[in-house]
Amino acid sequence: MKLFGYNLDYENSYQKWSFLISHKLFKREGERYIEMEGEAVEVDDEVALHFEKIFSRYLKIAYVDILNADRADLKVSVYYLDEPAIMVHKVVWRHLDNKVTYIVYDVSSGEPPQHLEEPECRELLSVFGIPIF
Amino acid sequence: MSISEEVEKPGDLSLLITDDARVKYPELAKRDSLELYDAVGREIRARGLFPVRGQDFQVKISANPQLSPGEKLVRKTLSVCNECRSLIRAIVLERDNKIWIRKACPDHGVMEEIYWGDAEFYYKKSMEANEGHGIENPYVDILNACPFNCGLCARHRSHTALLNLVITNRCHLGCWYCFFYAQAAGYVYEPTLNHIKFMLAAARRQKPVPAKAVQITGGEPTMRDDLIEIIRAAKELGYEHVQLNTTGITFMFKPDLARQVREAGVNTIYMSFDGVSPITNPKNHWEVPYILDVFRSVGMGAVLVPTVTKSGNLKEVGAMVRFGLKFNDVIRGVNFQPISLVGRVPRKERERLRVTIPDVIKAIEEQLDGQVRMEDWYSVPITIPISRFVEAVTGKPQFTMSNHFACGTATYVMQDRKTGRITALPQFIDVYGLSKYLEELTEYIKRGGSRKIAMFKLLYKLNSFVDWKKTPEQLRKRKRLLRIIYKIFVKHDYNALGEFHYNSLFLGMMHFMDEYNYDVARVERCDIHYVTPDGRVVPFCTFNVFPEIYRDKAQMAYSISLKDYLRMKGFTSMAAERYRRNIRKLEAGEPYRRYYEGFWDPSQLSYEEKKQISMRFGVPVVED
Ligand code: SF4
Ligand code: SF4
Repeated sequence: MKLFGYNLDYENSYQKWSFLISHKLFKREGERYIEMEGEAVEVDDEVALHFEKIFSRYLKIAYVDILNADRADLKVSVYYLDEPAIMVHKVVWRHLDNKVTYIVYDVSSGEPPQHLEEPECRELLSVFGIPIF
Repeated sequence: MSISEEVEKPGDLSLLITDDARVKYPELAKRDSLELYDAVGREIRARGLFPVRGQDFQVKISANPQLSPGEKLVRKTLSVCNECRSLIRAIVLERDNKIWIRKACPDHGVMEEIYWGDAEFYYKKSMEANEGHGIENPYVDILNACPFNCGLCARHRSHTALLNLVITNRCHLGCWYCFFYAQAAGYVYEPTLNHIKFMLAAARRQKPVPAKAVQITGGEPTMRDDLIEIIRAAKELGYEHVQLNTTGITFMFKPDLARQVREAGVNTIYMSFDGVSPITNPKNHWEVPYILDVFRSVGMGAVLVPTVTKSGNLKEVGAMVRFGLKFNDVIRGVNFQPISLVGRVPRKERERLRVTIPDVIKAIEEQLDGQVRMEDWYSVPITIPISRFVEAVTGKPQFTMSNHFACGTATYVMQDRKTGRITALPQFIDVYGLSKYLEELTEYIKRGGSRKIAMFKLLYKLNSFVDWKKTPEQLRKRKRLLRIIYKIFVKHDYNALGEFHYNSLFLGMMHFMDEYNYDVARVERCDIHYVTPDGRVVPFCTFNVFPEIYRDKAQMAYSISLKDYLRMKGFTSMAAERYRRNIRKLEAGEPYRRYYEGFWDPSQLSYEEKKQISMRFGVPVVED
């Protein structure tokens, strides 16, 4: 399975929005989840569409907003995996006093991602033994 | 057993849909149930009505357009290729105090188009950009890149400000440039009343703000016998504002229909009007005076809608404003639309026709001797601080007009009855000052401040935003203007806006896009939408720029053939429905002279020339 993870430093005066997204992917090995290293990739249409499928509903941004933004530094990693894994994207909302939320999904479940506040995310990840970051 | 009796469960929908994803419309119409319209809509989307990559569109974002020396990057965006209409990368740039869009297709190279004719004005208007609510309950999943995923999808940033509802593609005219009307398209699209109810209800489902305003359009909507029932259905479903988009010609012959339309709940007629002469307005020049008289007699307001071209009617934009002001008792607004050049239009032809918003605004300023200045026009999202303030006071999400700032601008003008002087609203109201102050008060309430104190502060300060010396007489009397503003902010009585409308002329400007100047950043904020027969809500500038994917594809799928329509009606051809113009009779009438006096002298053209103009445009002429 091919998967993308996103790091994005975003500031857009049109929306008066500013946030920082970082991510980690944890794959299951035996009983544990361990963090994986991805490979850097360029943005193509597949990367852009994948981004929108995950984030547009929660963050109200599309790829064109990244292009349009006053400042947007997008770094994308690709992961290839066959085993169960959990993808976690952390969002620091700079225009909301650095409030933190997380977008989490189980990559093999087919379920849509969940957008969680910090305490809920901590609780969810603790079930899998994954530390919050 | 008939097909309609057999269709009981979703699995049987195949009986209503052909293999090539078309609805057997007579069968569906016989069944006529809201649930079935919904179920068929979902099914037909899955079977290919929804855009399919590789078949309906391509994405080619591997090439990057570059700046040339002396140019300044304004922003990056996405657009479509003029040739293959694939999604491609683009930049918006400044050169020679103009704004351009340059795009690069890996297969068809670099192409460029004018975007806004004045860079300084573009930057000023960009300061008025503002974010709206978007929608919380997308209608479709994200499967494709924007704009090939309508809609609305989770990326979309504006709820519906105005919903367009096409109730027929039949038309009594046959304008040469139109490929959409029944005779040219070869099919008739005419959803049943119940089907229309399903579509109207679909657009009302939007959260947090349901669609509140609908424009009933066509084809020519007055060609339907059940128009009044359709208007009533819209009102019953909660549409507060219902307007009709028509040539107006039917009302000339059926004044009582105008009364019924008014009584059923239509507040405004949007009527095509491309100029004050037959040369610029061959479509309904001769009929307009009679139509306006009918509207006046039934208390109906009209908004004139000119499509503006550089080589055609740009020279008459000032005259059109004057015309609106002269008959301001019936004309509520003039909504200019710089031409959108959808389809294959060669570069030379585009250069001849193309105008952008600042070009039209400048022409109005020049032609009205500076009475309506460039700085009197504001971008539509300037209204958002008002919505936010009302939202903070009432605690309820409000209607926001959050289209892209480059899509549209507007102002209000008034004419002093005694002096004839024209004044635009920003000449006596400090729009920026008021808008900034509303933002401050909204913040104050959001931080826990008292709503009552905020209202009190606003009332106390309102006066300071008005320059009474420059305020036209009709709004100065007993500080009428303040009473209107008070009603809007304190009572949230938007009927007060109507009161304002009756005392002024609305001037609007919206530049619908085409493939040459297409900007995905604009369309994702579009707030003028269409509802499709399968229940999607699709932005105007995807619906009409990609008709093969949206408008025509959806309407054709729900249509009946022209042959079947003729058989049903017992016609041998559509000619029976065609309007024929009697130029001599129309010009001889008193209303014709009353309206055009001072604007157009009919002796400038011979009868033969006028006849040619009408026939070339597509309206046949009769002589008795
Ligand atoms: S125009 Fe709007 S609804 Fe259509 S694909 Fe783009 S974001 Fe989605
Ligand atoms: S219809 Fe076109 S021009 Fe108007 S708001 Fe929508 S995208 Fe902008």
